[in-house]
Amino acid sequence: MSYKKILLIPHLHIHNANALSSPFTIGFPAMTAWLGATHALQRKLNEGGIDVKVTATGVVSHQMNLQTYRGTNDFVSSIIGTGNPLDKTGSRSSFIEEARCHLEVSLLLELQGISQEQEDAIKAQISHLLNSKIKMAGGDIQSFSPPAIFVLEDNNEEDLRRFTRKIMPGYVLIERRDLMIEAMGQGQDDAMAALIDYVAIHHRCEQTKDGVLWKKRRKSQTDKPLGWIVPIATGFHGISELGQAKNQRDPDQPHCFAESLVTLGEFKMPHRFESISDMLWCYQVDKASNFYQCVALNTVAKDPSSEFDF
Amino acid sequence: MAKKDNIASVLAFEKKLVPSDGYMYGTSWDNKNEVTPLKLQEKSVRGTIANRLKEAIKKDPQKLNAEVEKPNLQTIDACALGTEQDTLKLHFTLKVLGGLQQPSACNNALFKQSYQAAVNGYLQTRGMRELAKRYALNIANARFLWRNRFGAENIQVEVSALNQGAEQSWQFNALEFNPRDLSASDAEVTILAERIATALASEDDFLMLDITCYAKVGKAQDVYPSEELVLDKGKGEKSKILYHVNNIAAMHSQKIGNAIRTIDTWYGEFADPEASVGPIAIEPYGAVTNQGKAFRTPAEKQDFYSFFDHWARGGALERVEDEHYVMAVLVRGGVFGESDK
Amino acid sequence: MEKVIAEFFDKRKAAWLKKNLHAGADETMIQAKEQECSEQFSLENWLPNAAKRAGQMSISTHPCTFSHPSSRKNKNGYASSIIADSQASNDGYLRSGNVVVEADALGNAAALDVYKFLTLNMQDGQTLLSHIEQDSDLAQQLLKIKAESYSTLKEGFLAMTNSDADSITSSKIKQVYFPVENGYHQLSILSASGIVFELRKRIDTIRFSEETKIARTCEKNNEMYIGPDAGARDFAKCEKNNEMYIGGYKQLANLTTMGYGGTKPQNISVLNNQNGGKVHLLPSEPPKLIKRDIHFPTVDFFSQSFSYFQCRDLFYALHDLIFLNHKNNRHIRSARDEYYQAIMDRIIERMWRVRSVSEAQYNPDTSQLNPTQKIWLCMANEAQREDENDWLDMLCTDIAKFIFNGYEKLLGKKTFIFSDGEFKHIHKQVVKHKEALR
Repeated sequence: MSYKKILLIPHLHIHNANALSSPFTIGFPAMTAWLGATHALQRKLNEGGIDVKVTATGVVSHQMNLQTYRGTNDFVSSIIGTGNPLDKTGSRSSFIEEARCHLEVSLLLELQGISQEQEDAIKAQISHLLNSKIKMAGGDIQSFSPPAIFVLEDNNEEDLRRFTRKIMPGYVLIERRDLMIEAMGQGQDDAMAALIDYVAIHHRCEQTKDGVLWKKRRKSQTDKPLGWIVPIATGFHGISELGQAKNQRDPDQPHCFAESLVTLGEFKMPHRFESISDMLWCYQVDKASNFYQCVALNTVAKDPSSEFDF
Repeated sequence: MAKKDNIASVLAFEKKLVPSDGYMYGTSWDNKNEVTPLKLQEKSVRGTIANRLKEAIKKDPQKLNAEVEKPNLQTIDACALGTEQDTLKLHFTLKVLGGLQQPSACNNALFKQSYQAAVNGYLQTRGMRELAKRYALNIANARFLWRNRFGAENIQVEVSALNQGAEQSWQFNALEFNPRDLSASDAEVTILAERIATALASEDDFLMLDITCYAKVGKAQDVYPSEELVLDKGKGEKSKILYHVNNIAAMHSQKIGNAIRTIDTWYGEFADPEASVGPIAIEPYGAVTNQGKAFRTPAEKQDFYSFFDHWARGGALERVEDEHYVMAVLVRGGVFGESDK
Repeated sequence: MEKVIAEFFDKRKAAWLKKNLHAGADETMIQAKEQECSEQFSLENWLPNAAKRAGQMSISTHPCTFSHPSSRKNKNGYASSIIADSQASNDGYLRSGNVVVEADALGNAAALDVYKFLTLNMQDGQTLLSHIEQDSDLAQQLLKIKAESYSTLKEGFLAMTNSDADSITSSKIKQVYFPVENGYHQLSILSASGIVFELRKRIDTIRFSEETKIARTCEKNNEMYIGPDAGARDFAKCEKNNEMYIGGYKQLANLTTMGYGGTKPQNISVLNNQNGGKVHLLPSEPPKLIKRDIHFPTVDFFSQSFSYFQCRDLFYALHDLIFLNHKNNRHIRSARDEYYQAIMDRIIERMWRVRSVSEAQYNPDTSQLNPTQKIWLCMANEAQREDENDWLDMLCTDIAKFIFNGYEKLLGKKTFIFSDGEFKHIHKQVVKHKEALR
């Protein structure tokens, strides 16, 4: 029997998080922001002498307030700015609009390498870090409920139910790159068409015996209803050679230019999961394609060709 | 002073005073237990023409009449207390963080070393007491109410420290404090300031303050949440959009933060009764938004960068006030890399 | 000369003459100006001049100015103008390489004409620029003039695609650490502006095209819409099987418009300027649990808080599933179960919303809710919910009835009458997730 040790940080309230998850999408912060946050926690814990590894991360959305505005007669929303600081002449400096959101999320951290005796120390240390240092998705952490650790046995339904109750009501974000691959694989859609098809509401009409019938529908997959599907940013794509660059933030690390990777994701209610692993994400680097990506933990486990994961 | 080998092209600091949004409620001064969240109301107002008219129109009496009589219809957001309420309740939290020694990003080790020596020098000789006192005064004097402060008959500020095992609380009568006077001393303010100073000077500690303010502004009076800055606004007809969170009228966290760091009385024109605008918010160029003016210009070498570039590399500043100012900008946080200039 | 090149020069010439010929000019003046014009835009004169100016602009698929308007120039020179050479692959990602788009350019707008010249598409589909890069016959012939050698011209034009040998980023470009095997890689994040504006183009087509307008009018008048519709593509199966003609259109909701460069979009890039500095962003929002205007039921959840209509789309799709497949194989069976679960999910979502207002709105004195629903929906009854089970069993039966009846009620006479067996099956599906109702 194998077990998973999950640290839950319940109901984190984050203020002014970065909502421009990619140049094409606005809303829930990119997956890289969440894995970045839990990775930063691991580093700080390690610096503090606790030798723990965060091997996977999950994120549950409870609430999101996107800071956009739409007038009663407008079809599109616009971004609500924060007002940039004035420059030395007292006028507003030029800038790129910042899209922000306020969030309430719970974070799941799969921990490895700690004993039961260390659990209290970890919980205390994480609380302290969240209070005193760590920012998340570019926003300020304003409050959170006390972290708790759960041990879940694989395939133990009782364990899973006990855990999922703690993150309800909410929606777990999972990867649905499979939908994109399927749509792109049919040949006629490029990546953008595939994405738009899932985001759009399809109005269609049929000629029935009783007359014309117009219906509104989201795209469905092989006759099954689809859940809440959205575009999400899940990583980066290296677009230049790895090397040194001038003006690097940290001259000691190899550098390259990169762009966002955007695919589909699903916000899914916790009771619909059959395994805790299905809620989790991990880092994966695909050297052949230059992908620096966050992927579903299960796709890594199943895929022996992945170069490495952690 | 600046040599090529101690220039940090990437340099950033996190803010050390982290306010939440301020939520607005309506209540009564004599019964503060009965509280309702304030909602925004959409109002149609019929304005009159008040802007300067074009010369051509002014000279043509017929056109002038038509122009002046034209209804100037606008929709705006507004917010007011209920008819039975005379008091605005504003609630927010303020997190005070330590760790001034650690830039959140710095790509030059030599610079970092001399910077840390400078900060430690300040902490040892001055501590964070002067700044903390001023922040505490801005909590006690309820400057964060902004426009809601004017004309209030009574203002009470309740502050509690929430840190486990170190809970503490204070109560202030805000009208006893003159917001233009940041040299005032008060026993309770001193104790609060002490807590703030300890957190700011710490390496990685924090202080969590919960702040509730009651302002008796009068029955059914208008109150003023933050105004939203909508970029690329559509042709929507609304001319004033106010801030709310989940349908509760609110003040922006950055607006509250701006009030709390309004402690700069060290700029040149402060002492000049003609030019002074009182204490101004800590900003790298001493910029004041509603004046559209920067009070600390590089030309006069009174801006943050002029001081900081010298000080962070081991140089001394002329006045202790300049050191306070530099430290206060670091508490404010920001991106200060040298290639950005 | 290729037609597009000739057109390019004709357009320039016309514009030049319009600017330089005053009304009322006499015949000799007109002739002189025309002469001057054709000299200026002759290949002999224009090419060397253009080749000299080409370096003032840089072609880039990922202009750094989208990260910050002043991120281009810094102490170390200009941030690298990246021209990504990404390959297409079915990896499920929207990224460069997986959408064919134009390259963008940034720099001095005075060289915009040179950029347009170099990016003209030749008959073979390649740009003039790539012809020059490959020294094709077309390029060699076009650039064969007396005033300047081919190689000098080529070198000049290619300056638009050359960036410094050094890789230069900027502190104004977002730089992130990404963990790799033994440490970190540092990534300077840029925007694929070609994709950004292709997205805008496609969204605008969906929103404003003539086809969409016609389709919308048909919908309003409840008429059949027949057209080369984009929305029908994913229902191609229907058409193939000749089962039913289906037309339609797509609608995109909750879009956000964002501006780059404020009043000076030309400072960001060529494509940004062409689009007035405005881009569209697709929404990526989780479902909302807190909604305004939620009322706590006073009599019955299943009539006041939730109705069949809130699952209309699901019931209809369920009907289609059964109607279009007169079969009862495993695939259909499991798809059907998915619909039952989806309906149940909506009930659970609504349950949470109702619970969130229970404290404020539930009035024990006037409430006529049945005991089961009181336990289920009042936050105050959490302990009882945890400890007892009878209420949950009753609720499962009620939900199963709701689904069973909902199908019949909503679909009316069209329905396939469900059997008792089906009711039992629905009940089983509900019970499967009953713990989520606690």
